Amino acid sequence: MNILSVKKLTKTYGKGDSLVKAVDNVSLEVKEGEFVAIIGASGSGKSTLLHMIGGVDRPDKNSGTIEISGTDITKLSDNKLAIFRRQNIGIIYQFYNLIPVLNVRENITLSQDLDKKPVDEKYLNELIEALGLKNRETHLPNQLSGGQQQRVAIGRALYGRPALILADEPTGNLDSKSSKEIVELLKLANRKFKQTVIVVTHDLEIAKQADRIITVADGKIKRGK
Amino acid sequence: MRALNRLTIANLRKNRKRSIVTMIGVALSVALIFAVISIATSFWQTMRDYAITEYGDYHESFEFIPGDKLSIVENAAGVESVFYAKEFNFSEEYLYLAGSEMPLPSKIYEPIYSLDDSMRTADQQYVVFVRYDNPKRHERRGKDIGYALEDAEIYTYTRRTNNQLLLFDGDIDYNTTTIFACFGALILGIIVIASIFTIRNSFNISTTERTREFGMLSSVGATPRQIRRSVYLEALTIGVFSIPAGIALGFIATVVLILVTNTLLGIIQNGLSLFVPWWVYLADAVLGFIIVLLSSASAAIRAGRLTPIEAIRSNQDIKAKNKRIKTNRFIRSYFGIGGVIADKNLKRSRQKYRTTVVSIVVSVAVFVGMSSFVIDSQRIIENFYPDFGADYIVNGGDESDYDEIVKKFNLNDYVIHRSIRTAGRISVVTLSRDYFEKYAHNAGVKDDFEHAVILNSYLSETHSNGSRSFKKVLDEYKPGDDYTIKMYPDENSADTIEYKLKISAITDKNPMGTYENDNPTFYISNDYYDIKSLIFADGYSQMFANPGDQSKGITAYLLERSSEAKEGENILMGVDFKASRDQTNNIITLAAIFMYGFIVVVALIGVTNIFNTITTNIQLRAKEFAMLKSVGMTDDEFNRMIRFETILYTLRALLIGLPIGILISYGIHYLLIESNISLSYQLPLIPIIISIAVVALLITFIMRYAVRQVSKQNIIETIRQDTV
Repeated sequence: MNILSVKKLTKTYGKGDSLVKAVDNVSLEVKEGEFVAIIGASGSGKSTLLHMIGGVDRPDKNSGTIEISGTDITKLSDNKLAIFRRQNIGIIYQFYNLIPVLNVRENITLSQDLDKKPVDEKYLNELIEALGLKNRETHLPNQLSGGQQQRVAIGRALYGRPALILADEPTGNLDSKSSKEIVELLKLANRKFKQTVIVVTHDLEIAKQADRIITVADGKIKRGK
Repeated sequence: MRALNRLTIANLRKNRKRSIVTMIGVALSVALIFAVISIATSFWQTMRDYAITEYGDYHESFEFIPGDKLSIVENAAGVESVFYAKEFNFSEEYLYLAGSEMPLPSKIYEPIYSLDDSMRTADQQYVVFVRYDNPKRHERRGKDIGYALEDAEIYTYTRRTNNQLLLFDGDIDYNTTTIFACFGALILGIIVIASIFTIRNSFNISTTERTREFGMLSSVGATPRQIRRSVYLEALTIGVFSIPAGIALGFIATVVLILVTNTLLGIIQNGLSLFVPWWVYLADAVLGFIIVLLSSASAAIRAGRLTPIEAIRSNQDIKAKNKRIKTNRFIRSYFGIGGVIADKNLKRSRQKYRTTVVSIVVSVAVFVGMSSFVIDSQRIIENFYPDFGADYIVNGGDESDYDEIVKKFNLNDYVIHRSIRTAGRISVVTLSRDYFEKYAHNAGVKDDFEHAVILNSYLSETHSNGSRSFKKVLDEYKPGDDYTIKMYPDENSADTIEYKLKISAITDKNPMGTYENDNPTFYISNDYYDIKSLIFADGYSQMFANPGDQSKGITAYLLERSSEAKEGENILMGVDFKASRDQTNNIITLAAIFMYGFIVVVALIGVTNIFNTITTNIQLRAKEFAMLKSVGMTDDEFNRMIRFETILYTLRALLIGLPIGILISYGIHYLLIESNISLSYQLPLIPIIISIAVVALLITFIMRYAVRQVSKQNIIETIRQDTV
């Protein structure tokens, strides 16, 4: 069953001569429980594609659809889209982007707090344990190393059990040891918690571990559709 | 170094709005300083000019000097110039000496325009007026001249000092001068310190924002000194633009203030003249640069002290306290996680909002505190000039004198009071016939104008235990009743005689010329009633009138009359109550304009600071906001979070600012008012309400503005900006 179905998606920047097609008429399908890696050179449009899938960026008007679990998110209002995001999508960025005044636990439960859901202590503890943040629960982001911060960001993406986990260069800012840990965590999420993961990366080592590799160049999918 | 300078200027340009707002802050404080100094110099000069026209342009005079000994004074050490006069002369105009612009009071002296050698004889005596080159040493110089004269065997001379002019020519020993100088220095001190504290913040913010840049510069080899200089350059650039603007603004403000002053106080003298010596511009510019440099000092030092890696990581100012911060359950349930984040933001990164809160606290406290001064002054005026329905009072005459004035000026709205010497606290007053009929008619009397109308007001009673109560003691009477009054036949008599008054009406309206809280009184007409049997208190006859625009004429007439009065004639005294009330009101209005003007400008400097802090703090959190939106915070939730932060800011600032303001207002009241006049403390409610409203609106407006700037940006673009 397809959890994600992208049809004829286009995103352009600028006008006239300086018009750039970041994503050019892309269609793509991802099955539930799949671990997909999107690779490509800098500026190939892979991150833009991921952001549109994650609903934090919008495609050009009337240019294709993005269906996640049957909902076309390009048709949602800003408000509905925000609510959809917190219930269905977990995003991990290259720079961890944690909320500096919230501690580890609070950062992880953030999206569910927005939904006014009570904290599932058992699951949270399990997650924190799995993320290796056991004794760091009440630390603030600036008391953590880069790898730890990224693990918190992953925890935040996983905690709501979203249908889709999107990671944008999640290891781009980390050393190789931390990178490995992060990839292991993403794999764990995929295997243990049965979540669909899409990772954008330019690191082939990471891409190799995916079920499928999609190569993007000049805003188009070259291979792996 | 050149690249560094270019970077600094580029930064000012990039943050154009903040740079402009900072410049406005500096310009305002420079303008305020300019206005304070130049109003003082103008006032000073006006007073000095007044002293010269009234008392003469000289420091000391020596009278009764023989013509052949004039050279002793002329050639004495320290004498700058001299001029001469003779005899007394009561001509009205001021005359000027030939070849000099120096006026002297010709009311007393006849000036001598040229003094040739033939007039320098021992049998002629002159008055010599002396100006010293250094007036501060006039005491010493004057004594020396005196000794020289005594050496020449002149003992009959008189030495006088022109204290009125010396007061302005630098004799600092005079108390007023010292107070004037101290007060001025105090005000300038307050402005400078308040400005530094508020403007400082703008530089702190700019430095925080440039932290990464400084880290980068320092990692490629910029020395702390160079980095400090770069901050100072930023400050100087701001100063170069804003200080001239501030001086211009201050000049305009001074001109306007002087115009307003002269309009309000037009009755007094010729009004204030504008006088701004060159040094005011210089001193203002210097103070402006001092403010700018001192404001940026802490930011510069902080920037220079950062290690490159600290700067690049720019770990912000969040206090890493592991202490659990509890958030009120109400906040969580009503404002959701947004409320929790807002709450934690304020609690965990205190420095960032502290400056804002401090600015508001200072402005609110100054405003509330100072305004109680203005309010108290107004209350004093009300007490001092209570309303009794008349603009003009004449006393000292008898009925025929008053009638003469009434006829001469065709007065319609007037009343003549005469008091009867009664025993006890209930008074009896006669009113002139026309007015009494009007009054009695209003009290419900149809045609019985022969009897008394009583004013049934409250009478205060002091009980044996010291407590007081107020009671309408005449409540039991009704029209037609008789009331027996007791009178003293003369001032020294202890015995009383009795007299019966018939009551025709009871009212609680005061007649013209009485105060609202007067004791219960019987009013009777002095024409109809059998007044011969009543005993009048001496000198208690007064006329109250509303003469409209004739009041000046009456005053002039009364003055003329009293100067021509013969032995045994009554001397009438007129009090133009309205004029003096208006004039005092104008003075208070003027004081209020100055005071509120001062407060408003200080508050505006604070506003520039608040604006910069809030907008920059929001900008620094743009990424955090984008992040919240990316994990699914809706715009509504986001706005609610911002609203909540606004409320927190406002509450915190007001909860600290208002009590301090109230304390200050009580302090001012206690020190200035209560020690002199018995006036109970009144909470400055209106200023409090104004501060609450203004602060709430201001913060809401700035927050909205700041947030709108931030939310224009696309979520993902904001998140990907890696510079903070």
